[in-house]
Amino acid sequence: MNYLEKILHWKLIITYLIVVLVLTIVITATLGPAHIHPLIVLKMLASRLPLVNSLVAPSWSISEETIIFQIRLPRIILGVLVGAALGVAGTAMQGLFKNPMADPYIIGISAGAALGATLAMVTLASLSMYMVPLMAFIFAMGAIFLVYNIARVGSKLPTSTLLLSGIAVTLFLSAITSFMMYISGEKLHGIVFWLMGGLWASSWDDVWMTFPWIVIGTTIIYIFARDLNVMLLDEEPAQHLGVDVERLKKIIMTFTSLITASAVAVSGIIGFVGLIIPHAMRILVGPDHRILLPCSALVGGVFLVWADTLARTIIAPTEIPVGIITSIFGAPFFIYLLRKRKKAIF
Amino acid sequence: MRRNTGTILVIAFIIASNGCITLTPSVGESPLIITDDLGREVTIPKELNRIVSLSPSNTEILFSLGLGDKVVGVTSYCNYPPEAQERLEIGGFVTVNIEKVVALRPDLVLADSRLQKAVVEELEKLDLSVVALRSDDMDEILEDIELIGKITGREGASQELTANMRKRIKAITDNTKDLNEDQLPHVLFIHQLDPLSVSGPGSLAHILIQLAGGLNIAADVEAKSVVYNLELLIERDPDVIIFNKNMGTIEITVNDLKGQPGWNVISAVKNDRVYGIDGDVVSRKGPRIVDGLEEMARCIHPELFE
Amino acid sequence: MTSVTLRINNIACRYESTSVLEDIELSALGGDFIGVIGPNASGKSTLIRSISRTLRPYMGAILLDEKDVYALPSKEVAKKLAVVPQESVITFAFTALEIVLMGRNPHIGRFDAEGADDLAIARKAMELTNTWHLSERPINELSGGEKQRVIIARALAQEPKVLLLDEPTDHLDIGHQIEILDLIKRLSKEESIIVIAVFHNLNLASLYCDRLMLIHHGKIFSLGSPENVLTAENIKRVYGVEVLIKRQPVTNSIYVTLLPRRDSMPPSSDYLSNKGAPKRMFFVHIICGAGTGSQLMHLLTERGYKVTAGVLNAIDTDHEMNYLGIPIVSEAPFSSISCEAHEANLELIDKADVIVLTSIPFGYGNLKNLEAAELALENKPVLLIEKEPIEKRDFTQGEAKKIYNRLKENGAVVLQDTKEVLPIIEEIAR
Repeated sequence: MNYLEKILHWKLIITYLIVVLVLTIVITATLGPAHIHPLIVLKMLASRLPLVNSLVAPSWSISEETIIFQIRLPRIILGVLVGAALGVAGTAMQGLFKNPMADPYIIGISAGAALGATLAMVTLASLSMYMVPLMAFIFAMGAIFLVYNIARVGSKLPTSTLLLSGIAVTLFLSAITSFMMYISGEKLHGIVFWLMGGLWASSWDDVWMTFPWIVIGTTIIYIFARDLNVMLLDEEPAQHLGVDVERLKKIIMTFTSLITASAVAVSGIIGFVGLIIPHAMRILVGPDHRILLPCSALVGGVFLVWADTLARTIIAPTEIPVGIITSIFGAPFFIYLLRKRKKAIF
Repeated sequence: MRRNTGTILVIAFIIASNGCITLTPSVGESPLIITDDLGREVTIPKELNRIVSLSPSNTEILFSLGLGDKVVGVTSYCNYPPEAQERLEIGGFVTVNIEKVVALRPDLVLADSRLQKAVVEELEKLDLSVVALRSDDMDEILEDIELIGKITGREGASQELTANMRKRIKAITDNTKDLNEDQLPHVLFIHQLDPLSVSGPGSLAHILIQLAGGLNIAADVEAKSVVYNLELLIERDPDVIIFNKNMGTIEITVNDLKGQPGWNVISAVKNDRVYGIDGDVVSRKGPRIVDGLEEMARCIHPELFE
Repeated sequence: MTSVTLRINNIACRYESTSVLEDIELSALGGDFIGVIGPNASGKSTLIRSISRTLRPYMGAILLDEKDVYALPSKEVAKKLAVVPQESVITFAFTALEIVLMGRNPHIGRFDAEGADDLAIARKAMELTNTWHLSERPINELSGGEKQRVIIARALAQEPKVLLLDEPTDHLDIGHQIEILDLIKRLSKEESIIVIAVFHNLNLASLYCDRLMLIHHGKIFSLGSPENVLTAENIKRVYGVEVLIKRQPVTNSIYVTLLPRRDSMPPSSDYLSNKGAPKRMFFVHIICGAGTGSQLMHLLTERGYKVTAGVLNAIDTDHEMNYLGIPIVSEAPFSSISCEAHEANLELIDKADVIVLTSIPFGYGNLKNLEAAELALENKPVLLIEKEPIEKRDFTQGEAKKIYNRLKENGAVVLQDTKEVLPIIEEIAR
């Protein structure tokens, strides 16, 4: 029975990707500009695992431990979370709007977050570690709220109006951000780097700040995976197949916004992942959101972690904004997939 | 070809000045022509009453030479000395408002040769005397101060100022130049915290660290200012961290830095050797750079300079 | 199990401010197969959309089992009501089976996946629509007809009690059209499903529907059995075309034949050069049969000649031309020409200015037509169209040939083709 084989196949793919993710975390934990032997890193990791920890005798310095557990590991985990969030959000947006150009930022999230972060950086007199992400998050959600209310016609949310008002609000907020940057003077530096996006200063605090939102949001979006499939048939047929189209739009919009805003708040605007990972996964595993969403999450996470590993090692001790890496390495790979497939994917 | 033209020009100049002397002896000495850091020959007007400064460094030099009264326009960044902020603002650093500059009818405009090339070209077209300056190390700063003194007829004041600066620099370097490598503390200058941006080779802060008897742990980066990897900060374990305490206008405290996750293992943090200083004094190419040097020296070698 | 009921209570719908449906009333029970017909933009699809919960009527209500469909959750409605749209644009590479399984969506709980029974239902729906062999093919690679059958399977997988179809078979070849409509008809009776289907093809509608709703300008123009709705009068008023209504001898269903509009036919050039229509009534009587006269009757009527014909059998193709308002003498099917018919024929001949005898075969049954021609020749011009020699058309052992040749000898004009008739008649008329 082919259908059951397919379900089995899905389970295999997901198991395989989880293994890849775990390996990615372990391997990238051994890679970094600080000179710590990979074996030492593995021992350190083992020392934190239950059952095997007693077998490992500490043979490393406190700085090495700090580098791995305070610097490298939270950064990797945050990379997984942000990559997964962007992959899931991009997949959901493209599916919901049936629009191949849709990405997590399409309805104003990035522009709102950018304005919030810029405002925080320009107006705040003292540094608070949480103000920039908090303002980014609040403004991102505010932007979505604005777009939603502009696009709303009665109780309905016409897709094209939504996309257009997203673009309009994005342009408007970007203009304000540009103005803030223009008058920001010496703070321009920080703003520019924030807009480029990066995981350079990731801490466990960032991880704990984003983890619940991304996990909850992703889970809820996944619950509606079958409805997203039906939505691909278009709104009217979806309605006929028992999908409450307007409610689905609101739910998906709310939770993609939530996870995207959480990701953007801690990492800035990392482009490309949310646009390309869903497409690449659609080419590889097909359009069914029940497999597409978990694959986009896992591969999004893996992809961003590897991109960030390059960003932090390739010209160490200097860092490169990870968005540059995701585009430089991701775009050619995606073009390769497109060419290889030679079929319409959307 | 170039040299030939130059030769011809020099000859022409000699003939012309000879002619002047003979025909109109009342004119007196020839006008001052200087070559600025963009390689342009600029004729300096004799009477300088209205000067516009397009960079904070130039503003500081002009005020220190007692020319504050003649400065009619400054940038929005020119915050020192405090009187400078009372002058008309002609825009930002790269966002100079040309109209405002022209409206001030300046006799002389002092610009930055690195970031203001386009502005210089525009002002030149409008027949303004523009001198573009650039200094990358201590000696060049001193030369620029002397050059501005010469241009503005304050040669005496400028010589006096630079002599004093040289003396103060020597007072530091006399103490530090003989230190051997083991005696040089490992230092990092942080000018932005998020992302962690540090000063590398070629930057003024790097030069000051060296003069003050420290070893910049970011000496191997490729640029004057880079985003620095956090693991390396911990691995390279600086003995002294000096940071710009007003990054932009955000006040940063020593405790802010010490509280960064994982930083508690760094020697500088453990030994309480994290210092905030005014970033301007270690980045402005003016007389205050010596203050910056002295402050850095006190941070790096408190035992020598307290 | 009680039968499903669907009541449309006096609904009115509009897009923005344009009213598209008004005063629509309908009541249906399980097993009803109702066709919705009407010209383009008459509101047929709007009716489907409003029943399927897509376009809420601003007046009236749609009651499914006595519950307002707009008050029910979409999932509840989708368990009972399925829709097959006019066209489905699916660009994603779902397999046909996956598409059909989506029909199970309303029946599967939010946290569940499709089970074996869902799969069995999907498979059955695909087997019924003859698409099971396509189950692993990507939907976007199927032909239009295959895709539509998959969509119908998807609707069937919903196990609906009401099935709405919007021109469901327009993409299908006639074989599949009949196959699918037969299937839907059968299911509607067996499973007691209400089927409401929009049709463009009036004959398919009459063939399958128990009742037809003819919509015109958003209102019900006529509602009832196909023979009551599909009248030439109704169709002329709604569609503005002439049709010929017949009962099909085999299926006994109403059969509609479209006829071109007379006023829209291009006038021929010689007609124009002929200084307009003939000045006076000019009568042409055509003795024809077996379809040999239809074309000529049409042509002459169009040119303004008064045409009569006889004697024809009532099921003769030429007989159908009486829609042109041509007086025709006819005889019961497959009977010989009676004396009464012959007399009537001679009366028409008497009025005619010219007689045309087409290239018909002669048997003993219609030999009287030949005799009528001979009588006519006594005082009027007679034109003989001789596409085939009389020998081949004579089934009377020479009797027809004898009379025919006499006609020729006595001055009947022999023409090789129907085309030659018009110029000669025009000459005579002048």
